[in-house]
Amino acid sequence: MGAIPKRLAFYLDTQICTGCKTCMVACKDKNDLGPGVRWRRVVEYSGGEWRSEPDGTFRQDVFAYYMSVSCNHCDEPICVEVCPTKAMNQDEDGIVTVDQTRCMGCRYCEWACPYGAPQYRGDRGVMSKCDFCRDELQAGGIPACVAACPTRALSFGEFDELKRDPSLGSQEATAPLPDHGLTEPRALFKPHRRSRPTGSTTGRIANSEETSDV
Amino acid sequence: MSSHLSLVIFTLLVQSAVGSLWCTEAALLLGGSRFALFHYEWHVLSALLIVLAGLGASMAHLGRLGACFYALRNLKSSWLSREIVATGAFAGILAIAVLTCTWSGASSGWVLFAGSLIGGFVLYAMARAYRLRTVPSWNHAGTLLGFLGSALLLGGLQFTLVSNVPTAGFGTGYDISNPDFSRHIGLLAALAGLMFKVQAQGEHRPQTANYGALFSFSQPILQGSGIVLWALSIMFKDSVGLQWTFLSPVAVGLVAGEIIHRVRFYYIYHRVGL
Repeated sequence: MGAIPKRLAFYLDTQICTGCKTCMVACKDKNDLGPGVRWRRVVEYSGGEWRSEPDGTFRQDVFAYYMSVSCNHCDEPICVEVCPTKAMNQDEDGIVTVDQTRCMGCRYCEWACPYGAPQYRGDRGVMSKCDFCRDELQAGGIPACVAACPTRALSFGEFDELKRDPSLGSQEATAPLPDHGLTEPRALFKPHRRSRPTGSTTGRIANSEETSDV
Repeated sequence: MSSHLSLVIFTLLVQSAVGSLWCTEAALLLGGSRFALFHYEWHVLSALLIVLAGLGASMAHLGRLGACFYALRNLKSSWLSREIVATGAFAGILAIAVLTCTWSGASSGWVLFAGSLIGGFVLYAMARAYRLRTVPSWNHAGTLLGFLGSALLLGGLQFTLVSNVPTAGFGTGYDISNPDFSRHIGLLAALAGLMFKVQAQGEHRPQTANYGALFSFSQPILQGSGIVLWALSIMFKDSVGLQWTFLSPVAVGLVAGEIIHRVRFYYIYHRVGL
């Protein structure tokens, strides 16, 4: 069993993410997740409009980009804060996990998390979530989603080291993610060149039926 | 979000019990000896039964009932945990009030006062549990105002209905209450509740209000006409039969309006982010 570095974080380069959803499938496969349970989701954010040109013609101005999102193991995890049973907790290494023996399945964390990370397992009546593939990390491996990514858009590393790397781009939140100040997520997303700022209403999640059951 | 029905029932029942206890406390404070012991005992007992029914309903939305005792563990940061503890304490103090009254044959003002305070905290904790910073559709003062309005409206109704239970045949050891007095407290509480609810509506107008005009307007129509009918019933105070003829549709209208309002509350849930 190897020691897990503290404050691990996922990093996604949205410039090269093609939205293939291999990470999502690898996660489901590795963790044996049933229908409707998605610890990692790939969100397609798109929008656009027609712009009129001076010569009287119209030109399309559309955009679309993908964001692969799982639990961000936030520095101020709201799921841990609101969980009445303390089933949701943040371990010493910073990974947020759920103790299913203590979870009563009230789904309050599901209401609160702005990333939709806690997922309800109806077969067990409890919440479940990404644990950063702790078993793989302890065995010296890497998370299943990172290992499966064909374009290497998804990776991971120590959060402070990732933040110090200037090649990873801006650390501002982009739509459809919420403002970082809400939970201080420990994840970095290199913005797409057409990224919209967080809170923007110019686009919408185009594949909501793939990312949630609501 | 299929588990909302049990939460609708839980929140409405507990709020009704809190409101009715406030009315009982007001009747004791303002009415003194005019407030019958018979009614005091029944008011407290009905509040206790309603809270227990609410707690039972809340269990239905849990995925794993066996772990519900762990819900008391996070008092440090979880308002849901505090809400559960406060509701349990509220039920406990109501049980003490019932037992005290049964054994000693007297109403205990201090127990009732403590229950009223704990009931107030139950409402506050309940509102805070919904005021998640990531859910702007709930995170505003209207949530507490709405819950307070529901407590007064339903509590006033519950208080009036229990007050109008015919006292004949229940023995001679009790004073016969002054029904006019208690009826006015219930109606005044319901009117105040309706005002709080109107105020709560003004605090937040949901951007995702696509639930249909019929759904949106039925609640104020039902509750407004219920209150008018309730006020009219005072004219027939001498007839128990007519009283119940009026109060039955009043109860149906007010409760239906509350259910519609609460279902809508859950429907407008919208959190930031994904």
